[in-house]
Amino acid sequence: MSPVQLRPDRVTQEMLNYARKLGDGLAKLSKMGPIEAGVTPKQLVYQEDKLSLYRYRSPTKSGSRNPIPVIIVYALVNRPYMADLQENRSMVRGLLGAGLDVYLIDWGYPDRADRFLTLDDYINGYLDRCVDVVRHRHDLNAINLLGICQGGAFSLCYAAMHPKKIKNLITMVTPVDFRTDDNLLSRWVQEIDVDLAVDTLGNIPGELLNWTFLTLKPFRLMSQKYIDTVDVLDDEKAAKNFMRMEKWIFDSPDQAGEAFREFVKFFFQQNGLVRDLINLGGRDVRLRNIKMPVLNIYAKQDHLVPPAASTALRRLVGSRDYSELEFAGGHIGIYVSGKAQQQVPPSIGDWLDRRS
Amino acid sequence: MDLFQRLLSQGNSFFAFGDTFAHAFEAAKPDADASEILNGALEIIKQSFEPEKMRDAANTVGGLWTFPLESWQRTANLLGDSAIKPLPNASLSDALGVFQQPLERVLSTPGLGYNRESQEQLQQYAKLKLHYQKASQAYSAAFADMGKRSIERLQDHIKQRTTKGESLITSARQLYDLWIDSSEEVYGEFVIGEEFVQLHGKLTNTLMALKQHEGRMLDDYLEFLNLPSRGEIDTLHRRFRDSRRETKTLQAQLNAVVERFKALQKALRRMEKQNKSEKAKKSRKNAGRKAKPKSGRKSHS
Repeated sequence: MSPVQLRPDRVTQEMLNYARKLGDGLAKLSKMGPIEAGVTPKQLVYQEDKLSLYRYRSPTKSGSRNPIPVIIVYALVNRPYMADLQENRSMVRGLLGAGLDVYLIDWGYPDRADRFLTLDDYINGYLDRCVDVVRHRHDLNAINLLGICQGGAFSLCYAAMHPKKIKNLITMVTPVDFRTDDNLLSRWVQEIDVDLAVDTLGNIPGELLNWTFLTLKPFRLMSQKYIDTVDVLDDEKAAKNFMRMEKWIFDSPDQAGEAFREFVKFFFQQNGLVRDLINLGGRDVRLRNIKMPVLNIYAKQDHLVPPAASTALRRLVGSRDYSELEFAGGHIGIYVSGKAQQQVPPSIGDWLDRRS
Repeated sequence: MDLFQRLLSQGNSFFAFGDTFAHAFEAAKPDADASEILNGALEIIKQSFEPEKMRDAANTVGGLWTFPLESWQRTANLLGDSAIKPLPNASLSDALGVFQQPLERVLSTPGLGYNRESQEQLQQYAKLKLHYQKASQAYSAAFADMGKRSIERLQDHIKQRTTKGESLITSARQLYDLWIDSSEEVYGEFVIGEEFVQLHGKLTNTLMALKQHEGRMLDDYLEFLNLPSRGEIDTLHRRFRDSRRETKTLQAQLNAVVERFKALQKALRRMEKQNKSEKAKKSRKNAGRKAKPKSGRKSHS
């Protein structure tokens, strides 16, 4: 007997049901109004060009338990509100709950005037000044740094160049070895003439990066996701969650041209973190100079940053206090899934408490 | 609006998929073998991956595999007007292959006369368009080929289901999901390989080369009109950024000097305080000595 038993009447009925759900869902979406993201109250503490440094307010009156504040360094691609998407899906809220004093850098949306910003400007400039602001506010010599994805790579560079200013370093879904066999994104980037692209476009449009990310898994991300969504659109809460995520996915800032050129060349094409080839503003980036405690968190099913790309850090850092935390999920699930809320922020809080 | 479009187009693709099977089973004779009907329907979908059908907007059944291409097209359009749509039919596409070389030779003819520079610029523009068109056709062809293979993989999965004794597929949705799994498998295997890496690189690089040439032509025109060109604005931005970097460096150095100065002032004050207290101590000691009559000195009065 064939394992496929389709009856035309049932298939027709299935299609009719789907069409009805799609119609109802679209009607509901059109009435939904604006979708808000970024939910935890925060205070602007420093601003420079398009960058903003925020400090989050603790939901409890007792405030933070840990005296050393932590700065979250997010990637330049996509927006940092992913770390604070909604009440029950907020890594920021989890970290505050774990007794941490949380700051976050929002890099903003670069425009043509920012086209000549370099990685040196971002890391030894903006990031360094944010670290100094927080150090002075708390009268501390060193603070904690939590880098996410590309922000993790920036944090590694920063910690290697300014080790005295960082007490503990946490990296999340951070690529270190960009030339592992399973790194599809890196494979594609090898043949891209990044000089030609930056010289032509100036800044790299967010849409171009988005297209690249979506084509890593096009059928799940461009098709199945939308077919599945139709099933949940009658549930307002689920529909809002979907819309919030959709807003984030397509909210992709353009990339400052020079910084993009350098990131692609130094990290993707030369694999400079592993091969000690990166020099920013006259300073060598050597991961062995990272001697402070390091917690490296990676996602087991990460299709953007494969685990092997992250765990390469183990053999490269100079720290004797290196720990890893494996999260059983993907690159996005690590911020927003229910499982992540229960596991990741409390683990970071515990790890930092033991080292503060 | 974009989201609505995505939901609708995915819905269309799913409908067309379901419709193909509903029709196939409906049209079959009552005693027909279900596997044969299924394979017949899958063959119809496979045919939709023929190059001329891939470019047909009305072809929704193979839509699953045209979405990545459409997505590229949208992205390329956002990068400027130069993005070229794939040629509308196979014969034109084939013609492009046949005439590419002679066309390139014609376009390489040296320019002569007063307008030779603009003639050469236009020839170069046409050449770059051809290069992008060729890369775009090759990229689409790879997708058409993968699309066909995704159907073969789906057929394999269905066969394996029989041998493994897994549960029956009784809905179009289950079958569609299995096709998505098969498609991701086939795609994942191909796109990690060197062939696709080259195709992907050429697609992007040829578009960038075309855009760059367009930009140069536009800059020349702007200069002709005595208007600021992209190149001039870039120079300004670069100088502005360099100045800003220098200012920040100087500011940081100044801050460091101020901090040092403050530390020195603090140390100086501490030293002064220490000095003062030592002096005071000393003078108190001296005063004490003066006030105390010296023992052993006799009065001669």
